[in-house]
Amino acid sequence: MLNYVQKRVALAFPTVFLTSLVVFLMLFLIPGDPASIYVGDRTATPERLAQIRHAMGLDRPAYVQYTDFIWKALHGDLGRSLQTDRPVTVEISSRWVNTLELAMVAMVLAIFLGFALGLISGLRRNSLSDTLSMVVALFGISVPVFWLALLLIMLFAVHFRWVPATSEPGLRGLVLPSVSLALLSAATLARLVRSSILEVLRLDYLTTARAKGLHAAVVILRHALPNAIIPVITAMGLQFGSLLSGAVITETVFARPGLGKLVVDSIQNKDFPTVQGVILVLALIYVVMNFLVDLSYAFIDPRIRFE
Amino acid sequence: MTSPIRKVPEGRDSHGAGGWLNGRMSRRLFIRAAFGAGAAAALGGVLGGRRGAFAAPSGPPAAGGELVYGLTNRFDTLDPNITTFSDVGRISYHFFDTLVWESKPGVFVPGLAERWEVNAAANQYTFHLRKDVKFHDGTPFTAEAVKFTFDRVVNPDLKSQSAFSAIGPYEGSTVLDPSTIVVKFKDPYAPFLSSVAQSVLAPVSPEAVKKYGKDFGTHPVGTGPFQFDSYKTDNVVRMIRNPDYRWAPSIFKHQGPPYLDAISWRIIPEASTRLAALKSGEVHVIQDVPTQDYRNLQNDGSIQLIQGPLAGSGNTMMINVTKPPTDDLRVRQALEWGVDKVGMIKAIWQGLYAPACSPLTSSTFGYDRATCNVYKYDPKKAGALLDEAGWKMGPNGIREKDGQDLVLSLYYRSDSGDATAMATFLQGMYQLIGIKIDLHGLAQSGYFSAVRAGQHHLQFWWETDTDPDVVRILFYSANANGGTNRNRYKNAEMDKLIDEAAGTTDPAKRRQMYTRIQMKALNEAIMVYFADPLNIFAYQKSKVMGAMLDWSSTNMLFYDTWLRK
Repeated sequence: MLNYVQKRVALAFPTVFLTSLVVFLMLFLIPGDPASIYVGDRTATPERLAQIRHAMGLDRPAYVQYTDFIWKALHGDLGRSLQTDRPVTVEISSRWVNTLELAMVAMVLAIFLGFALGLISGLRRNSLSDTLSMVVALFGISVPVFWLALLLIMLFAVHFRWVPATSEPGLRGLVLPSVSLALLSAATLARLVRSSILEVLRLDYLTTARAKGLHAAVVILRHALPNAIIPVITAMGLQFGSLLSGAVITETVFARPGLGKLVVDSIQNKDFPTVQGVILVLALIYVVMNFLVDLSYAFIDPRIRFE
Repeated sequence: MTSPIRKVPEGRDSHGAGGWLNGRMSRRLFIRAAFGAGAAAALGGVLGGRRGAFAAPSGPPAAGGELVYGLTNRFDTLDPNITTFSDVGRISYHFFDTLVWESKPGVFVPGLAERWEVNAAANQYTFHLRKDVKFHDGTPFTAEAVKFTFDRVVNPDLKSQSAFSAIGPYEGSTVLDPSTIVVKFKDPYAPFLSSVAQSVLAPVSPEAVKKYGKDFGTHPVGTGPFQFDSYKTDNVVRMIRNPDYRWAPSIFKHQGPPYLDAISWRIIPEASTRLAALKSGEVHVIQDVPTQDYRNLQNDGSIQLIQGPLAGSGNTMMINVTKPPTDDLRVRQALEWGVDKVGMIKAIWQGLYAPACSPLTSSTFGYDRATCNVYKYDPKKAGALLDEAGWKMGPNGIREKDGQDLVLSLYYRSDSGDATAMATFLQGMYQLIGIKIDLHGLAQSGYFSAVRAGQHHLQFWWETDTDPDVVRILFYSANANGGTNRNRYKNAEMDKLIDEAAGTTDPAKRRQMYTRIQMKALNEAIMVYFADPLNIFAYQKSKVMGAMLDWSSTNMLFYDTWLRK
């Protein structure tokens, strides 16, 4: 087990490194010169552009810029944003909590909702509640996050005034963003849980358990669920990734200063150091989440052992 | 009842209307170094009284309370000398005072400078400064601080943009005594007074700059009515009353510290959310109200709309005059006759904007109403011109000449404002006269590279500037090669006209010069002019008292503002 953990941690490094390399190369392939974007529509002489390029450190060869970035990153320095001239570490540290908080709360909500809906419809197949749950799930999958978010704002912030429209600090400000972000994942999970449950319920050992006279709840919670849950957990890991990326839209709509918004703005401005830094952090979060998901298999199903 | 401050000029192309929603500040006439002197003065009170407005105050002003304002964009820095974002200008006027304030175009009133002299050659300015002013950090405001600020702006390491353009051909400053400074220029630079009326050249505290270094941008220290409290990145800037403030310029109604305890500037990028936040009471004032929401808000008794037309150049389209087939005057004229501006304004801006006639908006000094008679919507005439130019209607509805289809490429920023709507509208419009428009909607990174290189036939533009010298940005040949003149139009006579107009002091003569420039641009069909846009703000009617929009309708100023309990 410990061996496995060590291996996984060791593997995480090249993953993150490769991610940053790919991102860096991609930025070079996107057309546009950061100095030119910085200048925008103002008239600037070629000399002035060259000056700015030099001040941004962009007149160095790409490999120098990249190795410089890696070298500094290893020392905990992610450079300075080309746009704001603030350290990228500061840019990230002032935002990552906002994104992680949002993704975490959304994840919890998604799991809760997803399992509730999935179990209801799986256990009462073809009943009214099954149909209703799946209608809700279908709604969650098909409705655009952006539209849903605005709908929630109009209803709960403007009409009822229960919660703020924009993402103020604290739990109240998290309600609308996390609900609108969670719905898609919840819907996906619900459908998975449902089919997993249906799959498992057909198996003989459950019939045996029921025949032994075990209470239905015990049968489901102790015997059916653990077996049904493995594929769902894998999906949850992936869902967390989509929550992180879904945060871009949610953060924009709810004016929540997070990493998602930052990375989009930075890509638009070809702000190399910032994009690199944020992608690095997001890749790390992703790797850690996947690792945790894998580990959780063992706790849920004792037959799974890590070699 | 004018509230008269020159707005920070801002300009950007391709965004079309609503482009300012995306908020980069403008190029200032960087090239102004090149032209002959003239009087900054004397734009005459064309705009006076037209814009600025106050809410009817009810009862005497009450001190206290925190105003919450909904901004549109995240920005780079709160350092006015560095920023490239116009939203920072909106904030900056509260942190920083300017040397002079522009009360209407070309009319200046004392700010931090009590009085000033300009030499005849307009390359040397002497400012006599107030002696009773202190920065927020307690250090006195002196001529040294002004010199420090100006020298800082031209230092390449600062990567200043808007301020760097605004300071023009700056040579250096000499401090005569603690309250007197002489600013010298390499060339005559008449627009300097309007430049120092902008927040981008507002004096910063030298001590604070030394203390915070690169972090000054998150710890701005000026002499303004409000001082810095906190900044949460991309979220909110909070400022609190400067209790020592005793030097308000005469454009305001009261003296002494401001009424408000504090102002929070919250960044809310999504327009619908901004509106929702206003309606739910989370914010008191918002900017950049979309025209789509205008009528709806008009019927909302709790909300007051306040708006004004921009000065400068409206929503327009630049035509590359060097690239075939738009190098043919008749093709360009067909583009002028072939667009239904009224229909476009109805379709995209709910009929709120006014059709544009010339490179200058109708509220800009020098605008000539006669320009409206030059082109009207007449597809038949457009077709005749194309026929004349040898472009005959082909079987598939697209004109041809020598086996070539009449295809024009329109470049625009797909991530920006109404550009996409404008582009698709024009595509349909020009289809009717047999021109095929290839749409190239790009994100800004690719967009700038493409249009600077001149790959386009057509691209959008709009520009905010209170000075008609804005035509220099559009038509001056020095700006033609990848610069702001993306018409790529070079004409010695036009250059001469622009230089002469900028160096003319007599308002009547100056007006004549700009009429000639406008007519020349129209006759040569360099650009197509669509609409003069509005800047629209909204605030809570029963709560916000004494709300003031500057005459240029770009900045709301809250020094006189108070909140009703």
